[in-house]
Amino acid sequence: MTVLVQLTDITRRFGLTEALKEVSLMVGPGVFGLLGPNGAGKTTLLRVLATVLEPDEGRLRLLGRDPADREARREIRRRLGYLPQSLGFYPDFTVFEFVEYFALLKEMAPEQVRPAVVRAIERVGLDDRARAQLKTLSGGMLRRVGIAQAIVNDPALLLLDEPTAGLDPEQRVQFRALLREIGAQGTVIVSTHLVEDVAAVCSDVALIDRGRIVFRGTPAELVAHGADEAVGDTPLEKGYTAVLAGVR
Amino acid sequence: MRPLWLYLRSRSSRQALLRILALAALTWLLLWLGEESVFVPLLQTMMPVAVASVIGLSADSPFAELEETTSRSRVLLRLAHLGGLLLVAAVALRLGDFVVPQPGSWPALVRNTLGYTGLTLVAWRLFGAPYSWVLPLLYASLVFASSGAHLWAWPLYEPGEQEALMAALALLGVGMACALSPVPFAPAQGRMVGARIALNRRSGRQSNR
Amino acid sequence: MNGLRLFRIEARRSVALWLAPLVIGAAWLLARNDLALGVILWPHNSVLARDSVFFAGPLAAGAGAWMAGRDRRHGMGELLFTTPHVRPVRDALIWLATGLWIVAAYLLAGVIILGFTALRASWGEPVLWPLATGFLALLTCAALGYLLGRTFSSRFTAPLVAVGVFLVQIGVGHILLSNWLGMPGWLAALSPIVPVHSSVWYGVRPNIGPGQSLFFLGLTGLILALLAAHDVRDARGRVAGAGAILLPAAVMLAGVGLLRDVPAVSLSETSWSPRWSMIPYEPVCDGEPVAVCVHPAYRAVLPDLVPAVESMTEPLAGASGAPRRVEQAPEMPLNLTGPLAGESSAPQVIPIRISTYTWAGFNATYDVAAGLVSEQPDSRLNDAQAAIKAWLLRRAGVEIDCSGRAQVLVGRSVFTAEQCAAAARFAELDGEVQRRWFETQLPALRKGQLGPELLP
Repeated sequence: MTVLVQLTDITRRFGLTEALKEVSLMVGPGVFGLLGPNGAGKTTLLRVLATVLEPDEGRLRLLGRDPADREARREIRRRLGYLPQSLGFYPDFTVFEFVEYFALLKEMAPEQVRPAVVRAIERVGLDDRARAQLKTLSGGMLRRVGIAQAIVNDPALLLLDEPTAGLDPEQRVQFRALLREIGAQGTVIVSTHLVEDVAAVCSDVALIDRGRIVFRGTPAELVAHGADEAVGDTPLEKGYTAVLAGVR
Repeated sequence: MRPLWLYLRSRSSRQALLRILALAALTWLLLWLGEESVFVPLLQTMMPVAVASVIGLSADSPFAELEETTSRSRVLLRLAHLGGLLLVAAVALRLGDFVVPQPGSWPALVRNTLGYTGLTLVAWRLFGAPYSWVLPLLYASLVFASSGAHLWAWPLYEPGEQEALMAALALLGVGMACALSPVPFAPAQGRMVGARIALNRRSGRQSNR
Repeated sequence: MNGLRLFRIEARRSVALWLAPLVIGAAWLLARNDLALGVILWPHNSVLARDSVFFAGPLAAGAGAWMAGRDRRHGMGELLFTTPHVRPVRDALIWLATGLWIVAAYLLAGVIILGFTALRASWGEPVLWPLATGFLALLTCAALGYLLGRTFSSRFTAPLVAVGVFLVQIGVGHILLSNWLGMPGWLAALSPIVPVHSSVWYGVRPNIGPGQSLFFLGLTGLILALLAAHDVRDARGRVAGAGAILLPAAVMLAGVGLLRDVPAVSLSETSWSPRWSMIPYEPVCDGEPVAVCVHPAYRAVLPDLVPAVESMTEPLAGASGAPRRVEQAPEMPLNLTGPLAGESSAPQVIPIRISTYTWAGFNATYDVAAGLVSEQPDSRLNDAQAAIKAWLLRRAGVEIDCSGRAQVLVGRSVFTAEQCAAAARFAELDGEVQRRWFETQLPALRKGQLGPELLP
């Protein structure tokens, strides 16, 4: 397996709080799910992978490079797509401008920018709203704009934090298809609360609790942890709660 | 008191208050240092613009339409917020006169602050936060460059001139009316009254603020 | 090419785009009174075109501060951080996109003012360095605002920066001239709106264009270098940053060095220096028997001035010692003397001064009347001279003040009741009697040897 993301004993603290504790992970191509309760450290992990935060301890390699080196970090960011949990935006920009803006900031080749922007907007189903200003869009549409900017550069590493928040079921189905398509060529890491998203698209999943990886395996293996008496409406939820109960 | 306290905190009132006090102190420091006749009208014209801009910008809501969906009237809260800041500004400017006596300066400073605040609030309501300070700044610039002979140059009038006081109070009244009126749009996004609604109806768009 | 596209997006969505029309409108409001004058002068209007920096500068600074705080206000910081772009380049593009709208509006307003001047001025050509220094100053204001907005990214920063720039421009440009707090007056030349002399006689002086241009260029570069230094972490970057700061600082200091040689006293609209050489010109003359000659730039006053002068000189026609020529002298400050300040270049030439801020001929009429009755027109007139002067002014259609109050301005005559009564008596005489009186008494009158009792 080609390892595109490699974390070794990554620790990250905020003051006295250890948000991540000796997290080790290797991720290759495909769609990788990150599950966990609120405050478990999912967003922190994603932000470390997005090169927003530096780990306090441990080693990190992304796309074969060490992000501690400035030039390597820049190269990683050229091939990175990131959708944060809380997406800010410039209200007066149009959809097209917003995605184009980030395509330019990701230093895409000039002749590739326009077609890439058009394609990204089409892939998220906003082609009829390309000239609409962002302040006129609904929350779900804004989320899709955020996904569009994340995928505009056909990233080798795509990091998505709660990507389906605000999407309707039909859009969520389309989005999962998109993830599978992208995961076929690169690495997608999805942090989400929605276990059905994980079940539908992820080939691999990790469960974080209190800064530590408490489970790593396939969704089927997670389901296997759940017993009839475990809490949850679906087998994956039962597996999820069973693992958490086991470590607490 | 609790709703008022939370409302004040949501409008960054403490930051606004500190800035107003700092501006008042700076005004009196400059008046004390400045001995030249051109300095006094300059400060009387422009420092109130700074104070008024701070008050006007603090009126901006961080919640956009979320507040508009609640049932409680916010007229009294807004009045207490804006009125409170104006009162603090007036007192701070007055106190400065005890430290650095400048006969006639503090009434003009207070009067001009009231008038410019009104202008800022009108601009905020019409054009939004990014442009709310532009109107009083431009107005003050043109006033400062004028001869001061016309009523529209009221900031340059002597402190005892009733016409100037009336003009300032009238502007404040209009500005407060704009700020307190329960018009259902989000001033933070700067849209003209009714224009956005009309535009959306014409284009058939559902706007979601 | 990505930079150009980024620039286009930033420019399209910049808050400064909506401020540009305000700059043009305000410039017009400020300039319209000057553009409506009877006499339009290139030097004066060249400085007028610069003076819209007065409010355009604060607007540029405020807009820069607002744009700098945009990322924080809209929660874009983290997302932008994950992109590979070079932050100083993006900062420079946003600064440029913001500043250029204000600059474009300023230049358009300047072109309108200078274009209007081209249509109506009768002599000379534009002086462009004031407009150029204003252009550079606006870019500096936008950069300064951006730096302060980045450093203090609060929504209150923009208006406070704008007001601060306004105060500094005026404070530096005007107040420092009076040796405030013992500060050297040449510092006033650092303000883009410092008052300068502008006249058709000497042009726009002193020529602080090179010094100011270097200063603003250097200061802009310094600010941009400081912006870039915001994000430098490694040692190599710090060394590069230090170099990037040193170069514009050197340029700025070179400009300051040039400005230090400018005497503070010359930074005034009414200044004059004996080191300034007058711009050669050929006067334009009209009228008989007394020729009225003005600088060609003031040609427009002749249709009003010549009849007024003729109405005053007609009774003196042919009298011995009567002046033969009225000639415009350079506008001089009242407390300085110079080669032509109020002194006749020849005994039979009356020097006049024409201000563009009054009715074109108004103060010239006073000068002519004073010059007709006295060989020393700027000296105090005796009662006889004053009475004849009052009579002459009434002939020219000028309202005179007979209250006897102390003169407020030299040249603005106030007459006593006795002088006005003597003028009224003289006016009742037959024209031929008046003419004969002048033929015999004019030389003595002009020498100040006649008392009021000798008036008919």
